[in-house]
Amino acid sequence: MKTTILLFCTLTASIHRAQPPVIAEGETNTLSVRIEFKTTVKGQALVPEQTYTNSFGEDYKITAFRYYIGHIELLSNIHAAKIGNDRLYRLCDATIPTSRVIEFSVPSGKYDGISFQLGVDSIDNISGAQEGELDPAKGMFWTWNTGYLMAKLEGESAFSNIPTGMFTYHVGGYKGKYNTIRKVSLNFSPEQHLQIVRTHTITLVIEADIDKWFDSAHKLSIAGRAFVHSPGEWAALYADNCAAMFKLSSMEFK
Amino acid sequence: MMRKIIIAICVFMGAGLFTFHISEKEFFSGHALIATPLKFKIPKGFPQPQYKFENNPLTQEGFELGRKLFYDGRLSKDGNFPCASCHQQFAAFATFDHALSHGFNDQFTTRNAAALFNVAWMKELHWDGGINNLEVQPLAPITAGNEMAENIDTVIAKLKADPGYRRMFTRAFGDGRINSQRMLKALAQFVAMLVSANSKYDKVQKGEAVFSPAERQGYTVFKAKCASCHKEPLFTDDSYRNTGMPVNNRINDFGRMAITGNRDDSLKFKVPSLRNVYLTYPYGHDGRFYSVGAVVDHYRFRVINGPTTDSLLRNKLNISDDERFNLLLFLRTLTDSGFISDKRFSAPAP
Repeated sequence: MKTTILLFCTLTASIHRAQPPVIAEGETNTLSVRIEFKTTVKGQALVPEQTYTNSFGEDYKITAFRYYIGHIELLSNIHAAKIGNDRLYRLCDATIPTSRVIEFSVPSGKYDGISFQLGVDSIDNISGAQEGELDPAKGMFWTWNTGYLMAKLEGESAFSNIPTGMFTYHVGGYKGKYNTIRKVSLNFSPEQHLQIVRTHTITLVIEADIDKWFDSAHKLSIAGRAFVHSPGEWAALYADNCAAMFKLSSMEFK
Repeated sequence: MMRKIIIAICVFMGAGLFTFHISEKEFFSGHALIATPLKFKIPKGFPQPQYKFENNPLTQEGFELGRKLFYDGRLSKDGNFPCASCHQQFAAFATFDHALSHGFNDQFTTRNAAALFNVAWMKELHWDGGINNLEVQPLAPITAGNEMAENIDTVIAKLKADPGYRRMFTRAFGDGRINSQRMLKALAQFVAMLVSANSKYDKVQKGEAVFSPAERQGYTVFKAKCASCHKEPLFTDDSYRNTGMPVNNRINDFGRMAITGNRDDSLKFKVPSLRNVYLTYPYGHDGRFYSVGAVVDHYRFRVINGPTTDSLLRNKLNISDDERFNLLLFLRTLTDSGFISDKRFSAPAP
């Protein structure tokens, strides 16, 4: 029996879709970039199980902090250098150091900042089953109201009004006014800007400060709200605060 | 038996298109296993499906894998709840005679299991439309504590441990890698293929059968009173409406509002198809109606007007007893007995 087979093979298309960015080592006029995302509280590295106090005087311990990073770009007045293709995401996890290191190369240039997206594009929220960093088994997916979380923060606090004493903020939503996708842009200092032209390798350390989750763009105390489990107004407020957590803490040149 | 191998390769720029004619022997011995394409037939008069098959090309092997998964209890925590436990073929893949289905550890679900047919035409799934793509729907029942109560990693580990599945994934996808995406795409292939379009009604449309006079009168009533929501040929317009059913205050299910966060969506539920309606009882999102007649009587006498009650039902439906009788006869013509006895969709041999 003969079998007729049609195989559509889109060679150029997203074979590496949703995999961590990998860009081949370039020639001499390329810039190797290493980004390390760190989780901090008041400038110090987050210690799991340690009790902290937020600006409302509420105690808290962190048990989980994860977020999706995508669309990394080095910014320049002349041109922006995009990293990899548009559908590359990295799930950064406070408990997994390797998940928070991203390495890539771009053409050398006068870059004056970096930007990235927090969360997953709407197209990837509506396109069915995904794999790699977007595998729903990674626990960043709402099964009953389809969509990816942009960030998840969980912990314990005496101020939580839920019976377990936990706080569980699952922030997501990609529709309309409740869209939680956020863009973060961080500028280099004039000095960093000058140095970047003369170097081949840079390491950027970007800190995410947990305190700002509760108090930055909006004041969101644990007593006031200890959980978010669906898209909506609250998720959008926490998304604003999440975006405000990130700052460029250091840059090394080689 | 030796067969000649004909290979025609057409390569287009950008997207390469390869066409192979190969023998079965070659098919299974070659290192690049290529699955057999399967065609999705759009019944005459049906619109284009919503499901994007181009992102999940249908194959015989993908469909068979999806069928095996659909009937496999290992997708649930204790092995007792395959998809098919709540989606029974003889009930047009709804749960027969259960207002609410049962799940893990003797728990009830909070909604009546939806019948699974013609789902490829649905823009969203579930009574509240919370699922935006057919492929990701199974994640909801698999992970719900009162349904299959399993987690995705464990399901994948169980599948990976089974050499039979490794073979089937290889045949369907070209290599033996097993992950949630492939499992879900295979399930989507099986479920999308559940097309029901050969009832007496369909045969009448095609000129292969005729309605009795009473059925014809019932069809006239249907077109006048029901068809704006239960739109032909799918017998649903795929919209969300409050049909004036008071909330069950043990379940407190407000439907679509839970998904959109919009008060205007309070108590709105997806309009179900009326195809196979006599197979899928009980009715309503919580299965509160135990007969088709009871649903019709709700619309005749018991619609509750609230802020979001559908404008088409605010004055109830004016259907006389005679019209009701004929309408019910017409609705019986929507039963597709070929669909529920189709061997392609039944449990695979173990």
